[in-house]
Amino acid sequence: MKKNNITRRGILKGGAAMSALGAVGINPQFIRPAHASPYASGMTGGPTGFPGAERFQYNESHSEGRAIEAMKKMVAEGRAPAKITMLLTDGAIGQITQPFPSGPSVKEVWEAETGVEIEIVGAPAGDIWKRVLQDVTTQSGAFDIYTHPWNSLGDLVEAGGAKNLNEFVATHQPDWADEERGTPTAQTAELLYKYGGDYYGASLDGDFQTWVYNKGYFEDPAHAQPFQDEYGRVLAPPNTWEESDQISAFFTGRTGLGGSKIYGNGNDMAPFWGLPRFYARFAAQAVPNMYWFDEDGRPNLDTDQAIKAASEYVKSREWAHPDALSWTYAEGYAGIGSGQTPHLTTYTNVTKFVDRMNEDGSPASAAAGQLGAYIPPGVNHDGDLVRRSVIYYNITGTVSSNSGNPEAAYLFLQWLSSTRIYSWMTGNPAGYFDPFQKANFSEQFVEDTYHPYMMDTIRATIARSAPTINFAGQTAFDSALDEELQAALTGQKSPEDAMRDAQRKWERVIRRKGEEKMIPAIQASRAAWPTLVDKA
Amino acid sequence: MTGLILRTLAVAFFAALALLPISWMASMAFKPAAEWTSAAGTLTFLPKDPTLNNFRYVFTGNSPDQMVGLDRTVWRPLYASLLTAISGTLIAVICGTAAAYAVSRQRIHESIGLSLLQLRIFPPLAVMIPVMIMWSFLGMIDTWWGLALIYGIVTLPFSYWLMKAYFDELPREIEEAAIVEGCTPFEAFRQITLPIVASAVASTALFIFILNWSDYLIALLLTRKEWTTIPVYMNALATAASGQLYGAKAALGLLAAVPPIILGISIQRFLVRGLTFGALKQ
Repeated sequence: MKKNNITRRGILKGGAAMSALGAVGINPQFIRPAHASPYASGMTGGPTGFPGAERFQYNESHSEGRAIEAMKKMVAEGRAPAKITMLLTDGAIGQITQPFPSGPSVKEVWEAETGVEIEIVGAPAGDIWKRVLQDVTTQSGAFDIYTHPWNSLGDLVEAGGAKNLNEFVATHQPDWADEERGTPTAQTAELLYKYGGDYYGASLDGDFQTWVYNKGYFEDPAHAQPFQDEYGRVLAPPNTWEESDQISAFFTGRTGLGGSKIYGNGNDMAPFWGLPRFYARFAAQAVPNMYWFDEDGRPNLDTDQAIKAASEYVKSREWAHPDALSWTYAEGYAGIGSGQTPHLTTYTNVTKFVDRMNEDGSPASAAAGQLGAYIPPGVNHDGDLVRRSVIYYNITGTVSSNSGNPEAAYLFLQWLSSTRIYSWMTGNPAGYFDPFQKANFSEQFVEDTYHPYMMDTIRATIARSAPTINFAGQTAFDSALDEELQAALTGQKSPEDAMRDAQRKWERVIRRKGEEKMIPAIQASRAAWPTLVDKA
Repeated sequence: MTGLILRTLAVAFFAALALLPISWMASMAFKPAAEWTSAAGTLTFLPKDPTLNNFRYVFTGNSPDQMVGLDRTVWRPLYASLLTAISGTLIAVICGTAAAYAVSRQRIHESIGLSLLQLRIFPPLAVMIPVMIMWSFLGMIDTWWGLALIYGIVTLPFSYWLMKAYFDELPREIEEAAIVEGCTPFEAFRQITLPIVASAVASTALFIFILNWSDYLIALLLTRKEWTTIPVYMNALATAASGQLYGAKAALGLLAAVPPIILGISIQRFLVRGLTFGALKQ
């Protein structure tokens, strides 16, 4: 928040302004009417100062406007805090603090309208969950709002770190599940904002893992013809994992942009970052889904389907870069950008960072202008094509149970995550937050940043995305599976042994947590899976 | 002759091995973003297209080869590191020297040395979690004095044991002569003993400063934003577009080595004496 310090320079500037006013004789044409609003007709708040700003403005009938008015009321009644502190992944801060496309930043708009300062404390994406747990453990109340992976929501609720938001949601009515502008389906809203039937989080991301490919490579006769000769079909986006692996195998060793050696599989395989790649293969192994757990809460990791998925996943390392086991998503972005890899599944912001031009007009990457996207591959089950992706990580905001003013924190979170402000923020290329709301996909800024080819693909991917684990025990489940998959990838275990060991570990987690608590959570998660099955 | 050659080769090999990470860091500091990993091409030891952009990025928050600007530049963490490391060093050296002198000369409470070691006996994390809860209760999280105080406390054992060894080596007859000449015990300590062990104090201070300056775990747990130090800031150097900013981290690593080197050079005169203090028995 800007301070109202009285300075000599400020007084001089003020004096100059007064002199100028005197010079024009206080002609009415130079004086803006007192009631003139910087907002579009009927709007009372939101960003101003750039073409198209009116698309993100609001009034009291909108989710953002309700949050602002409630906050103003709290300020007037002396119930508002001077400052709301938010723990946020470093890479996302820019979308809140950096002006886009010009004019004020998201943070400045909130602070100007409410007078309540927003302090953002950054933490690396891979460490932020530890910082959250640290704050919960010490009960310091240092943060009013936590942001963390959506996957950690259940563990946070179970640890008593997240405030139940039911009352605030009922009072202030966010537009998260709005049929016109909110989540693609009511089911998605249940998945992203609720845990155990209660509101706890606000989604600030759209981490539905999406496939991106180098269209230039696929259309290049130097690659297309040999592929057709070898596999008897056109080199085109794959429908199945089998076709996807064939493409990876085909490209490996070929020469790409700038004479670089191509590695066909650009997918993350490192601990933590590689886990959703396995989950996506796994989920497509049955009709309509191969669930992580059966209906009785028994893990499915020792099934033939899981072992098949693990075997294929391990085999795919043959077509990956030798350093892939130590790479995060960012190296995946660099790989597709440099032309080192022909396709990969990753976070949707890959295109906004890689497929763009620099300010000086030069391409930001070798592959800029050549990328395309396709819907996730799947498994053909006698004509039923089960295409699956997963949602994984997905920055989620929660109100700390130790916050000194949880309602104020909630109001900021509602304002930030509602469809107008979120669309504006998502269009800003300065951070992680990705589109997922209906309103985001019809927003020109978002389309300009992410490219038109991503809009339909992301929507289609969301419709086919399974939830990874986000209920209590997630950290233990994912760590156990990750450890076993890494053992298989590095040849310490066979995929069969790794899956059987992971099965035992998962069963142990369930026993430790208590079946009576775990089974309802597992069943609730199963209910949120997609049922969409394509025809082969 | 063959033995000498083999010895020289062995020394050269191990010296190169020891310098490899440092030279890799130095090289990385001058590499453009496209050369940080093999994801965008072939990884080379030396930069193909050397640049100062990594230094510019950490100091200004912007760089021509980075799409996203940094939310924070290095200035504030640099200030925090200097203030807390120096303050913590002063606390440890003053308290440690005083305690070591008292125990060495008066032979009282000699068990204090073992008590001080308690903080170093357990794994650092096991100690720091209760400390974090205490600091939180006392409102000392993310304060410079909270961090300086814990730095002083955890390095106090080093200060105490090093200084005690020096004082034990120093003949007490020198101080007794001063007292006979009319000095009080404190004057004897301040005017006679302290100048003699100044070199030992300098080497102890340098050692402790380096411990404080390079600390990561304590600063990570006890700071949040205002007083995060360089190692914590370095870990947080990441953007959505580029992930880990290896080049910026390497540039910062090189810069972080500067204060200890300057300090070492400035007290070099004392340091040589301090490190050899007590090496020869009377």
